[in-house]
Amino acid sequence: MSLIGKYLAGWRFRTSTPSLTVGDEVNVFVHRYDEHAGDGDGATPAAAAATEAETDAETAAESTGVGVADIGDTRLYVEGAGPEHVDVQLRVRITEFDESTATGRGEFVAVVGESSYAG
Amino acid sequence: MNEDDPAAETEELTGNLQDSSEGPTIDFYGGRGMSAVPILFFIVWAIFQTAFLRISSERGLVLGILIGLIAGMFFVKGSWRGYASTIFEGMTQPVAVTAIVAWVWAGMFAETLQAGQFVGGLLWFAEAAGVTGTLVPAITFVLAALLATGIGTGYGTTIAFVSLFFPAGLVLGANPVLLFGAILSGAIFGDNLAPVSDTTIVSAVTQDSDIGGVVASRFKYAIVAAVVAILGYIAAGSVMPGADIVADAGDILSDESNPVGLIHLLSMGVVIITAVSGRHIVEAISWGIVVAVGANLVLGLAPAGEMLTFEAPNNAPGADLLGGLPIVETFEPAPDTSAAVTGSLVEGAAGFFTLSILVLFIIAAAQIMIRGGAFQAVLDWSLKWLATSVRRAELVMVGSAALINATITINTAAEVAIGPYISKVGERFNINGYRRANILDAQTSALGYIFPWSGGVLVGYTTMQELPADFEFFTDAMVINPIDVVPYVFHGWVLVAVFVLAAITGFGREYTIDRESTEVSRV
Repeated sequence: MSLIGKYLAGWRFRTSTPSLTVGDEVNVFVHRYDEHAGDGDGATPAAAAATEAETDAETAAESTGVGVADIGDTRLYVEGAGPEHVDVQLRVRITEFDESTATGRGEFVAVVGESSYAG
Repeated sequence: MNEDDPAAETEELTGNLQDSSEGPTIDFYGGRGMSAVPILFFIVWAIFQTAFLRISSERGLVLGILIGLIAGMFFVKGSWRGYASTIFEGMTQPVAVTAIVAWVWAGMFAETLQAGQFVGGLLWFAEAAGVTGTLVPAITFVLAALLATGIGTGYGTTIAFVSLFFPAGLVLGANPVLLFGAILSGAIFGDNLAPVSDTTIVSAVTQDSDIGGVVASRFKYAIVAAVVAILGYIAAGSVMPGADIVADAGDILSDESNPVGLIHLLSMGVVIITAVSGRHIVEAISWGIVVAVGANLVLGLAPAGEMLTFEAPNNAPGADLLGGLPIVETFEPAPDTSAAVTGSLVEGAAGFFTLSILVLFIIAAAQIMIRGGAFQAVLDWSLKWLATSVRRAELVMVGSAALINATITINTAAEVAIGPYISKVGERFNINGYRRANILDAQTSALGYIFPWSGGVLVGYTTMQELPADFEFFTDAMVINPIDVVPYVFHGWVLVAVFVLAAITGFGREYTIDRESTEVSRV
């Protein structure tokens, strides 16, 4: 970013529910691991594992839980994240996003950073 | 690292993370909340010492945190070894070391600018501009802000401006309380925005952000608040009666004024531009030091000896040989003399030594709180009951930073103590490092110069008490009671208000998905 660009960045009113674009990769801190959250829609893990997208990409063991990240008040469920990724920054590929509920899903790509204060 | 193999990269990083986050957990009698004893003891000590007794001594605070660390040990279940090891673990965290390195560099730069008559340059400008009456507070705010942005120390700015601008401004017809408020406001502006400010440095490194990026990103909040503050000083200056003093402002200013001192706008610009361009802060300030020292020598603003002098006894082995150098002075040994190394470079660096030790121990106490579980308990509680949305989370960050800075006089110490909490609450909502650093530092800077027990106000008040001895017209009755200035520190109040509004409206908010801050390079 240019020198001027750095000064001009952020001169706007940013929404509390930012949108995510399917196919993009974003870096987010995961704050929780839901062991039986499935799609985040309250369905059972078995139901979650039954969708085609998930069965293609994951093993049954991986589909039993998801990492949960909040970008503002937008909720992102991260498939493939484990309990060891809580408070860790992950690169996530967005696979679904529902604008009306500000909820999305994504796939774990890589660990990219850690929290400022470990413990 | 093999970029073609994300899995290998992930495994390596995950392994490193587990290594770094694993550590002993410490059990305390009375539950995990008792691990907050060292920090809480320190906060109570700091309030007792600075707010009730008005002693803004960093050495006293060092003792406070040391006793706090000892007190906490008595609540540990079983062996104390883990507790003791955690103190070391905390003190060796990169965050503390990075801040200390940047402070020491910034200290050398700031003192060298002052030795080079930067204040004299600003005085000359004020005199040449011929401002009188209602506009004096507004102009004083702008010039104080400029000095504070250059030297990064609000305290230094307050001392310089109360010593010279304050009496001169009164003679020019400014309202005394408003003028003092304008000086404190300028100090806040620089403390908040300068890349060489101790609070700027702490805000950046505790939030994993590069200092140049932090400065550029906080410009928008600072400038919005400053414009409102300037308008406020113009409006208030036109309705509040000025001091009725018969004296010549020129007499006060002329002795010190020197247009050449304005060259240090260049030294200051070099640091700001190189830091914001993404250069390492040590590199950026080093360039600033080179330019400032060069300008001082070439333009005759300060002799070499003012920046560095070896004061040696004349019986030292090399005294005869080296005594002729401009940076060596010799003296006859006597019981009341002692050898020393002095000058702006030394004093500037040494000015941060005590604060550096203090910060190491505060970080150690914070680590005890993390390993003992109290930090997580506070975090869990506030995320469950207070920070339930991003808007509320930012308001919690503003409120908690403001509260701790309103209660602890030495704002840098308060900022270090609250830094981890701000970081965790912000990470929870993926608020990026720049935004977190800006929320943290605005409250730290503003609240450090408003209340009667604030360090900045005390420094100004102490300096003002010297004025009757220096100026005939200045009577003891003209010394301003610190409580009176509280409403008139416009920039401080507006800056806090800007952040409350920014949290509510989302102005300036940035998420990690928008832009990631670059961590300050440490290796």
